[in-house]
Amino acid sequence: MKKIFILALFIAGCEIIPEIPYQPEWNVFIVLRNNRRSIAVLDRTHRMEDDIFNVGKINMEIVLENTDTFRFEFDSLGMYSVDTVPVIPGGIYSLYLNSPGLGELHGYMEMPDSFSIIYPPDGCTLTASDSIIIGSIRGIKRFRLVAFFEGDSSAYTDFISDVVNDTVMKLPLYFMTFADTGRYKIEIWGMDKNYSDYPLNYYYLNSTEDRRGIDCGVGVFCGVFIKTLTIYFH
Amino acid sequence: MILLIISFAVSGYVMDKDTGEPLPFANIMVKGSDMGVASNERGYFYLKFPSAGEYTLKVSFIGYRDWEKTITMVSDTTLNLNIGLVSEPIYLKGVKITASRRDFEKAVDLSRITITPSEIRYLPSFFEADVFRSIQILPGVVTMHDLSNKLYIRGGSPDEVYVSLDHITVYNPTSHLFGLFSMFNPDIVKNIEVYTGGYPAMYGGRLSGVISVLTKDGNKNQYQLNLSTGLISTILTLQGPVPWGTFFFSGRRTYFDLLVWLYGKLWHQDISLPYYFYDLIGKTTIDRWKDTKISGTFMQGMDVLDFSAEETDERILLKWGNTGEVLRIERAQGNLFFNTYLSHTIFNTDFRLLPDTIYSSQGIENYSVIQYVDFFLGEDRKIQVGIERNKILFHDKLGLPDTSFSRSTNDIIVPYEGFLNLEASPGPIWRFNLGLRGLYLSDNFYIEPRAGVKYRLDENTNLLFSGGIYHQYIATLNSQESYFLLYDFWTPIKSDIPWAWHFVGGYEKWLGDGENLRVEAYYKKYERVLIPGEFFDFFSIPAESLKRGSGYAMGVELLLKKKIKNFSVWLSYGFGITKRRIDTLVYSPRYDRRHNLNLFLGYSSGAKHGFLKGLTVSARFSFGSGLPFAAPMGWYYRRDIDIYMGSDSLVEYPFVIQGRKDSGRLPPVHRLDLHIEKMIESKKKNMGFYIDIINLYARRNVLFYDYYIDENGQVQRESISILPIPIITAGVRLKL
Repeated sequence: MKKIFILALFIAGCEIIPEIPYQPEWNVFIVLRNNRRSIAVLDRTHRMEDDIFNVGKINMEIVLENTDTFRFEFDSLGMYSVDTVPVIPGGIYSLYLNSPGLGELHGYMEMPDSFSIIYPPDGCTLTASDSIIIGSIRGIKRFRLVAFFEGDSSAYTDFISDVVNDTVMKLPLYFMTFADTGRYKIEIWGMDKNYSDYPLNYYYLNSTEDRRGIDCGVGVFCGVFIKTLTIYFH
Repeated sequence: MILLIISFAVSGYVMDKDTGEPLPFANIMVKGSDMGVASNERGYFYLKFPSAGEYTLKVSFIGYRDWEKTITMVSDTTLNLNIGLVSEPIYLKGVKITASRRDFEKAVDLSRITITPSEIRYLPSFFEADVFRSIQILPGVVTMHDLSNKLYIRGGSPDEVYVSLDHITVYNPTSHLFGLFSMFNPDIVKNIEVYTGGYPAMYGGRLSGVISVLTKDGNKNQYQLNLSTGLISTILTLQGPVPWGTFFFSGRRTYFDLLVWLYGKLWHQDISLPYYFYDLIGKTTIDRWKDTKISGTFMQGMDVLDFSAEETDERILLKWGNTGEVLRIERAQGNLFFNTYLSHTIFNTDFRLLPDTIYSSQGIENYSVIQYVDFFLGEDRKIQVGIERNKILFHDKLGLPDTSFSRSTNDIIVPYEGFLNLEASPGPIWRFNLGLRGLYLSDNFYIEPRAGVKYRLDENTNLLFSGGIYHQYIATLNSQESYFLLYDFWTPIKSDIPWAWHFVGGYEKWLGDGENLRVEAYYKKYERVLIPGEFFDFFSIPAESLKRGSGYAMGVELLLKKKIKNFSVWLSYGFGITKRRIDTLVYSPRYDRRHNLNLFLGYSSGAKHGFLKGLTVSARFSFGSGLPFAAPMGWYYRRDIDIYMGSDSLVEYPFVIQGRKDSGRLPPVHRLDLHIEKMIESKKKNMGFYIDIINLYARRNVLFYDYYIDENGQVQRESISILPIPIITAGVRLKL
């Protein structure tokens, strides 16, 4: 019996914890938007105990419809404006990134096409039990509503709804139940598939889940089609 | 004494002589022979003799004095004999271990262990003696952390274990206080039967194990009041005779909230603890007829969180818990024992944000009928035939009254099941327990063969085998890998229901009276099991949309029961490997503890006089190798557009990149708990005091690591322990 006991403790002590080598990867956040600044944040992931890691010169290409190529060259990781890339509703964009330290990355994105606001008209009075009605939805996977209280730059809250009917959709305002009475500017974001899949997946623990529209690394390559509406809420 | 009667068989009940309480699984042996039977779960037995003659019956049960009587059989009628056993005095009771010679020779009871109330009582407890905590010392039973009461049995998650109270299905048995306490107050327990695998045809509907709790009937001869007060709750138990039979009532309530309220009143401070839980159980038994007993049981266990904000008139009210009722009819007719259970149970959660802002309710409700009959064919043969029908309803409601938004979904399944079990012994060497269970659900029929075999190598050594096929038609939508959860959310599975098969082999050695050694090896294969994501939005998600997986569990277990003078020793060790597979990913779930060791040491002085009389000391040392976790590989900033800054800025959060969910192992865990109890006995009342010390040497077992990025951009790791210091609990027990 004593031998069995000792053997059990011995085996327990010998349990192997595998060492997993990790190589830093691309970490990108590239969003193309109409009526707003289009941004490319080029970054990398870090080892747990990071060391000096030089990525070298970065080449970036964004190609529209396989015809127009927009080339960028950067000396370091950072946030850059890519406003020179035209945002074409329904346009197909591909991405190419290369640096000596991080290697190549390819991306693909279909820009959301468009939608129309059927109800309400601009300046209308609404309550939390009302809805915004959207129609003629093309190339949009998900809507996001952001309500900005007039005179205050901070958003009140937001609401997200998948597109389930591309002819007509109701976006209920019950998310504003606790909102103060007053004028609001509401931004309606029509999001592409990549962006739709990206923000709600915070809790996925597997790193491969953190990648949307790119073939390696983490981050997202996405597009947003935005319309705005002003309402009086009470 | 010689009782002259005319019979070839004897039947009746074994019961406590003082209280009339039936004693389940007592041993009835014929001295000088290998003839013998065990009483069933209701204390009933039937023993057939091969011929006329004189036989001496010996009846034994743990915690009771042996009973002997010589009877003479001269005719072929059945003798009815109700046997009252005398409880041992407290100074002799102490801490005892159970190992019966009759079971060793006759019972095909691989992976089955029964636990008595005294065993629960003498285990060190965390604030409260708890039925589920006592089960944790069994081999093959794993918990995720020091305080958890969720039991992972041989690689099976808690939702794969069938839990019942007097055959009422209990869906969330450990729902008290984030799973810290089960709803089974130990004072109600007559007996607990635990199967960790290969269980017989009587049980079904779950893939991994069975925990069947039987409650006391009540004292038949006199009124009895028990009061047990610990640091966080009080248990009041009242039982006694009534004109039609007996009654039993027990209630438990935590009183931290009342103490905090009283403190606030006395010291004029505005403080409150808006949480409490309670259990109630009531039972009455009608035994006015010779052959028939009827009993009714009501149970309720509820957690209540009621928080009010005086400034805003807002109130959060969250209630969750089980309520159940069962009507049981049993009829003994010679070698036939009929049972009927009509039961109803509901687990419901109710959340309200008042005044009338949010209303949410989820629940599972079950109407059940179980009927079976035991045919006692002789000393070693029994046939059991039964049917079971369940109607299980599921509901999920969400309402926002201010906005007229509401959502309500309901579902139902109605499984029909039948079972047949044969216990037979073709000779002194072999003993079989063969069974078949059938399940009809949603136009599909499933067959579940079950088998158990005992082979006696020699007088003191047995080999055992058991196995079977098992199906499960409900599952939880929440992950069973979570450390903490208020309660489980159940969903029906109507097609392609998960199934598993078990194979268990065992070796058993008799080491002396009350002592034995058992080694078991098992393999369990799962197919089509539902594997929810850990952070799934599980409301209203149909089971069919969850990920399906397969898996296996295998291991070796050892259980040694030994007595050394006044010490009782219980050593259990389990080595297990559990794997789950989703598509091509094979991984160890978070509860895959490779090694699990428990050493229980109980001391009872046995002194008849002086301070040592009624003194018991017990200690439990537990050791477990580390649980798997997703070891971090790196980190990065996850970015998004910052809507709060006008939608042109960015927000970034540091994120740790996890490796595979089983890429690392936490450090081993170990702990020493101590229980000291002193009972004072007089003719009319008993009084006892106890002290429990949990985590005596202040071991900081790691629950998980918290990683964060400091101001220098360096990843820091912090070990989080749930029980970093010793916890001392004291209490009083009073029996009038």
